[in-house]
Amino acid sequence: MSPIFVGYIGIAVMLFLIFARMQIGISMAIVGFIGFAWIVGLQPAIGVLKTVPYSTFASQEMSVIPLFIFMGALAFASGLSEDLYYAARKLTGQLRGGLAIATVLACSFFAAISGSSLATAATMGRVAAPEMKRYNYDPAMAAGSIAAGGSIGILIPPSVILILYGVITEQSIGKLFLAGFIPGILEGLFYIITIMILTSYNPQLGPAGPRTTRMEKLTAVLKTWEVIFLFTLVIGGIYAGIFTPTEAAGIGAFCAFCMMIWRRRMNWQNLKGSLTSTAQTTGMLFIIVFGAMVLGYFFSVSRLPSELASLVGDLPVNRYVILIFILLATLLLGCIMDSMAIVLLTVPVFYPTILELGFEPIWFGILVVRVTEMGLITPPIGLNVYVIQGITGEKMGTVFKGIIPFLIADVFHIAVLIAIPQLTLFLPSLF
Amino acid sequence: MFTAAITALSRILVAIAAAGLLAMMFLTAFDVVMRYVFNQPVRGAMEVVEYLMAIVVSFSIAWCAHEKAHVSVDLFMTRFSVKIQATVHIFTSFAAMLFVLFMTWHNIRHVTDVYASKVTSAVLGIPIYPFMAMLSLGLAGFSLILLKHMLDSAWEVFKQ
Repeated sequence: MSPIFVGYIGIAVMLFLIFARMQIGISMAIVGFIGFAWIVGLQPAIGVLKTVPYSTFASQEMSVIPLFIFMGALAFASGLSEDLYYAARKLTGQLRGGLAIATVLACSFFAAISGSSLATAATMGRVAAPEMKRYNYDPAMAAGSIAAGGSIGILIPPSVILILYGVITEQSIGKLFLAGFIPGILEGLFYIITIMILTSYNPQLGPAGPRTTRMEKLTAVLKTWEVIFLFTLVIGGIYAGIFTPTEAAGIGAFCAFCMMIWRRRMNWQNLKGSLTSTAQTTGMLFIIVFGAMVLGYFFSVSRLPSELASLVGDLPVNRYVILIFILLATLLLGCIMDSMAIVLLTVPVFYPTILELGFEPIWFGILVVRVTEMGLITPPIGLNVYVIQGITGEKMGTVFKGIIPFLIADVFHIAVLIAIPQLTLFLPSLF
Repeated sequence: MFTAAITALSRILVAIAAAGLLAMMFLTAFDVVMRYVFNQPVRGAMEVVEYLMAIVVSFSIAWCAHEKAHVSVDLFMTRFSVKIQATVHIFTSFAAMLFVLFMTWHNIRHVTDVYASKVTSAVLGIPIYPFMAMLSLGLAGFSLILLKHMLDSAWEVFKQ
């Protein structure tokens, strides 16, 4: 049996295990191990199992992941997310759909100190959902804006998925962070425009809230200085060349820790909650990273990704057609899987193809991450949707109905990112 | 009894992971301050962070399993009856447990090799084997938790 055939069987078996609800990380590791043993031999495969876990976990470079997660958890426990939402509400509340716009704005800013979409959606949902209900917002509109806003989390740095993309493709994490910046802001703008269009056709969707004075606006915005400070310190520090991403994450977590004390939110309950939720997310991420590493050994000896690359590269079609096919495949997976698992699963397979076609790796990273995030809010499942449904108690159908306009905005957003690569590549090119 | 023991074990593991995480945060922040303000980096900070990572990540994985928070795909299985779901879960968690046990076993063997070869970290000369042993411990905990999940599903099938 040729190695590449073993590779295809491996993928089939892995999908079977995943659909049988085995943990994704373990499924990847089992298939990776058996496939590698099949092609190269049992002893080398055992060697992989002996060395890969330790070298993956005990890595200074990877400590950036738990530290950034911890920073976000502390910021949440300190109530920074609430301050952000109230400030954004003061700014836009008097507009039609203003509370929904405020949700998107607050999500974008919270994303700047949190690395995860689900966390952003869950955090903002708890604050924004009751407010929108109070002002008689259409439930679908309310749920849609939270779910969509949450998905901005991943493009605006720091972003855990972009870190992992950087690690597996050996691209600079700092450049990836910069690349995500403009697309992330643009995504927020697209959502805000969507809300404005919807409410101008049907004002009942989001009635205007009470007016606020300029002074009130200013005080509310100034109250969020901690978020601005944290973001400037962490991301500014990385680009000014003062910190490596790992150091920035350590300092950021430490500052968030101090803010929690300063805001008198430091108590056993909050600290314990932040620590255990960080441990939970860390465990969840690293088992998938480990699985992806083992699977990577198997894929490289099976030569499946490189064969695929040359096969696809020789196809007599425009390279953008292939790109769109790859993104569609990613979107389909995004509907059933966590975005990080998809990135770790598909990027090793498609990456050589992308290079072969002459696409910019950083640009592709932003696109693929963007598309998996779209998957997070796409029917029939979409993980963000479950989170929102849990928080708002609305019917699944209502949430999905609210999401559809934002999905249309997503399609436009992705089309713009594909058509104008400079939006993504301009900032990284400056450094 | 077994359930209580597993819960206690997971709590101990997550407590250690949490302590390691805090230590890692303070150490990284302290190292940066010392380097840029006093131009005096903490000696061997990087290796200590690596060792701490070994503990934090290995124990977090066990905790995450205890909380049933490892990512899996529900889409297809939820279409079947509870009994079929539980039956399939017996098999998947059994396979996962076997694999993790196999990994634990080989990691323990690896620890003994490393212990014999007396490998230490480059700057501080701290031996590496205790941290590899921590990894094995975390994996062992993980496999016990998977065993518990398997028994839970078996009980579920038996009850029906």
